[in-house]
Amino acid sequence: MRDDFPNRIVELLPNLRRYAISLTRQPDLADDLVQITVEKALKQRHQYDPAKKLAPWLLRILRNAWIDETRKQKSRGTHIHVDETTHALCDEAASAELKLEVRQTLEAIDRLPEGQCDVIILVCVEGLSYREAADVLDVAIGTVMSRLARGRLALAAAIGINPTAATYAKHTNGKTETPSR
Amino acid sequence: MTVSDEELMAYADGALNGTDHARVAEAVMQNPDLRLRLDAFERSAKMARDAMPLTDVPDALQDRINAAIAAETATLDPAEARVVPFKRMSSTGRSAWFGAIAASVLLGIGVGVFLLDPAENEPVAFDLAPVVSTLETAASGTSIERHGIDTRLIASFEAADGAFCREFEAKLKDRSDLIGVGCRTATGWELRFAAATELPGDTQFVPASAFETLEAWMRSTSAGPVMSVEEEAERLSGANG
Repeated sequence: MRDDFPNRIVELLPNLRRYAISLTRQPDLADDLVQITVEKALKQRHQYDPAKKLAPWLLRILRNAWIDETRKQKSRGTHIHVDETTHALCDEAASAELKLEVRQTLEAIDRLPEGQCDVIILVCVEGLSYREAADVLDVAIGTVMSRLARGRLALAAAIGINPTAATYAKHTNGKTETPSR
Repeated sequence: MTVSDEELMAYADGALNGTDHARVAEAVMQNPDLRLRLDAFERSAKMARDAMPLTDVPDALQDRINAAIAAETATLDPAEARVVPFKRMSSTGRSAWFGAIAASVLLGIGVGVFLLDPAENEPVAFDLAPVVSTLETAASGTSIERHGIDTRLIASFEAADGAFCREFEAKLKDRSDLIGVGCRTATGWELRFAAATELPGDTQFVPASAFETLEAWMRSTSAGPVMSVEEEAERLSGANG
């Protein structure tokens, strides 16, 4: 029987690379991270539950590999100069002939707190369910939902979509009252 | 009727069940403010999705992935599994992560571990005993000098056989510094990996591939993820108890 597991991984390489760039902000680091992810996935394939989607499993491996590496770099006293490099998202926005709207969106995502940026990419961009995103991030599903809601409202305000909606949350603690019947 | 932002967002994403869906739908119908917020949730998601389209995988990365898959699928004999990824690493080399300097890369596995000198490729004995007390007590991120060896603990992880392992860097007098992995077994600590990180007397040259080799060794032996501070502290206290 043909083993299509490697092919299924290859099909998801663009998704892995997109998420890796969002984490590392540097395409060369992202490519290294993708390679490590694929190697780990091949080694750990017996841990993959075929009843579940492959993408969240791979994205989780990728994210954990990134956390491992940043933690080790910190122990070594070295630092990956993420903040001092041009952010890949903005870099892409500046170099390509993108619509102003797209550039503003990328810059707004870049400015979001890391936790909110992460869930927006996993859910809105990669199309994961809240539960799948929670598994990738190793947090509760409620945490994913609250970060995602705050991040999306902040993003909406930043790019000029219905700004009153985002400011509204500050005064209502995130809840909107509707007259009861 | 109160609708939280999370509920409204889940409604926008089609993630609510029947009862809650109907409740929020009715609230949205009645409340213009909710419709504005619903619009913000829907449009922000679409904007993010449109702003980050998938791009083609660079040929160089595709080649590296193909090589990784070929090496893995060709590894039919478990005894060879440790070796093949290492060979692949030395030829494909990660450019950015640990540096790009190609040098003799060195690997020691198991009880007969040895430290190879990158200049001469001659095996050099390394005794783990002077650093064992450091491995048993020092937290990752700290450095301790004992018996003339300045040891810096990098990270802790669990080996495939369940052994508690510690990655460290050691500065040695009159010889090459090294990176190593010591693991605690039923019979005591044993050195499972060691590689030189610089040549004696030449502080300008650091064979970064020693780190690559370590990473390759960790993957080939299915080493566990880096432990959290809490997990490590628990295992360290177990060493003393």
